[in-house]
Amino acid sequence: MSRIGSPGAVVMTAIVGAIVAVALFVVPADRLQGDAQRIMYVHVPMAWLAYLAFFVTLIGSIGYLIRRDLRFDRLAAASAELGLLFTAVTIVTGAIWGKVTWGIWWDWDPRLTTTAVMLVAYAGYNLLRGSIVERSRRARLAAVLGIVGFANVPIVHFSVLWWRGLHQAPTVVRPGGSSIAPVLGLVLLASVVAFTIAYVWLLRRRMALESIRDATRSHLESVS
Amino acid sequence: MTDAAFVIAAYGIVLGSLAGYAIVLSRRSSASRLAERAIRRQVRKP
Repeated sequence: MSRIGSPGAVVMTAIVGAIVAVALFVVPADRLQGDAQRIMYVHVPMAWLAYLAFFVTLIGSIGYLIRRDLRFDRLAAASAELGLLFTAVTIVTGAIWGKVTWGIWWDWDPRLTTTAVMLVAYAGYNLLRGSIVERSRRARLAAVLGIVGFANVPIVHFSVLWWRGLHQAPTVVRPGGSSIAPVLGLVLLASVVAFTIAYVWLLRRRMALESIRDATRSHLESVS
Repeated sequence: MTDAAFVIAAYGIVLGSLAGYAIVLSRRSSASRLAERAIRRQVRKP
């Protein structure tokens, strides 16, 4: 069952709703940034999910090239579409947080710039998929792009360490241990878990859609 | 704008995007399922 209003959707909404309520109303505000720091509880999970989604696309792409099994291609396609959404949301929420803390919506900072490049790369991936009709050719070319495109993901992550910019360096996973207050870190971790559950739920539904489309294509091919 | 307004905007964008994507996905799935059934019926016709 995968409809809106299905048990899975209700559970997912409850989990995400609960963590959002805690992040907005329960956890104390940051001493320096005040309420603006609460943006972290959605911005960081979105960035993490963008990485995870493109990693899953990489796995699906490699799997397809090795096995030539369309299930891997469906996994890559579904995750790339979600990754594009998460990257866009990361950029927008980051811009909002930047406006509050830096006083500007955007800066050509290394982290922001490489994230924008990542957005364009995966928009290209999705456009490529939409522009090739032949199923196996689409899967093969998309797999190549899914592997090549992932090269930018570590660059995005380490850009804050490799180059100087406005974006802060890591505060949770970093050499010398975490510098975030334990309570804030716990809520951030819970938020990451909650949104990851939402990603898995959406990924399965998106893969199911791709399966239906493949089945339709098979029926059409059997007619012609 | 106050800090609270920026926070609400950020949360609204995240939750709105996820909910919007889930709704669009549901509609795309329903439309694809209908198309698949219609084609299967056509294939079965003698």
